[in-house]
Amino acid sequence: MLNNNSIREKIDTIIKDNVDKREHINLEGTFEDIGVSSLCFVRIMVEIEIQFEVEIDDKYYTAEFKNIGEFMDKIIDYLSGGDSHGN
Amino acid sequence: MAIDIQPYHKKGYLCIDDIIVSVADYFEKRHIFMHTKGLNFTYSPKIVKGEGVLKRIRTSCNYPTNIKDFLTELNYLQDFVGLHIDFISSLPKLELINYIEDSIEKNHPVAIISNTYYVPWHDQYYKKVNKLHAFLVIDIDINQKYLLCIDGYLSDKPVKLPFEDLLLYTDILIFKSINSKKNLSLPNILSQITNGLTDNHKLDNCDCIRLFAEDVTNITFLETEKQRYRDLDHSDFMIGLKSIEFGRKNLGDLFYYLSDIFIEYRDIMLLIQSKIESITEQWRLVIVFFVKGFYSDQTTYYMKKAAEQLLDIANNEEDVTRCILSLVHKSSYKIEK
Repeated sequence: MLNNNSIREKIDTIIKDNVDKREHINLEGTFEDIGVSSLCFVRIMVEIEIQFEVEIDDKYYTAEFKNIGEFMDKIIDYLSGGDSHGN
Repeated sequence: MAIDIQPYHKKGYLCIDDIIVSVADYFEKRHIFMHTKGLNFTYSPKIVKGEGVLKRIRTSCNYPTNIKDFLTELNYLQDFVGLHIDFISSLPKLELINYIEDSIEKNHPVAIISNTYYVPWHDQYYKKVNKLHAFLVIDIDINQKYLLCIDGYLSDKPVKLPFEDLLLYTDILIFKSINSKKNLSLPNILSQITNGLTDNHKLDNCDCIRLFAEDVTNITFLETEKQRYRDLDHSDFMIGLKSIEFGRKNLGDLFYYLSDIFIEYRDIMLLIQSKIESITEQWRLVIVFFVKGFYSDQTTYYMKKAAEQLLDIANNEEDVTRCILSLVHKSSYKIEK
């Protein structure tokens, strides 16, 4: 089982692969700030699903995240079983 | 003399939406009434099994799937927003420059309908991707040979378009401020919404969405499409779906706004708004299933999920239409009394 740091690293890589190389990923910023459109956001989610071989609950696709940091925390929590893959 | 318009962009807005808001604000108009078409739905042509969708099929909410219908489709902005728009097609370059100079003198903002391939401030698409794009011209410098433009969709600062980047023949929209043609009464506003639904064959039922659902199960993404549209933002099909999602959201916002004006109908309007909010979420999910189907190699599975969601949306949008019609009857009855 992967630990949270390792999950974070993999998600970070997926996000970086989907943005312009010149963009700096600021956890306090939003996806829009780094040029990630809503369609590109879904692509990032799909790549996370493929990477971790899970089907992420639909609610994470439609949720509004305050910033990238909150997105990371929630997804890591979900993938590590903290969210019990529900609610 | 430059026109003092500020760049504007709101999440989910298309470039033309940003332009309408910028111009409406400049003329001190209430742009919220541009959202009365938010429950509309069109797509064309029909999806054919085994053929691609991302290039061929156009989905749309507020705007026509065919640019030739643009002017007729924008006429509704005269009623409550108070904007008159002329559409002039295929102006030769020199005439275009003269026309813009003249319009700016008259305080009539001009939007250029161009192609991203020729838009130098579009870092991602310039000299790479051909896609329809529109932006406003606020000034012209004949000596330095450039147009000063506002493109809130892409930039929060004014940008320069050298004459050399103007297409040989260009379409433009000219905006004029007029007095709103209709009184701001609830029956009038609701009638604009229901007229839009009638035009879309969507007032009596949402069978057009059911047909789309049936078609969606036949979608296959061709290998050529997968290579060409790695970034789905290039696809008019997907952009159209996003505009449908945000069209619903904006219509919900309009009902919320109206609930503060026509307070005797506040409860039913807030009910309509909350129903539309749920529908917005459902459209977002449809898009998610499309994107997942595109990237995950499980197209059939996700298209089936999208189709199921669309059938549910059809029922829910019929329910919203019934609520709107009931409000039409109530508000008209009250006026007759």
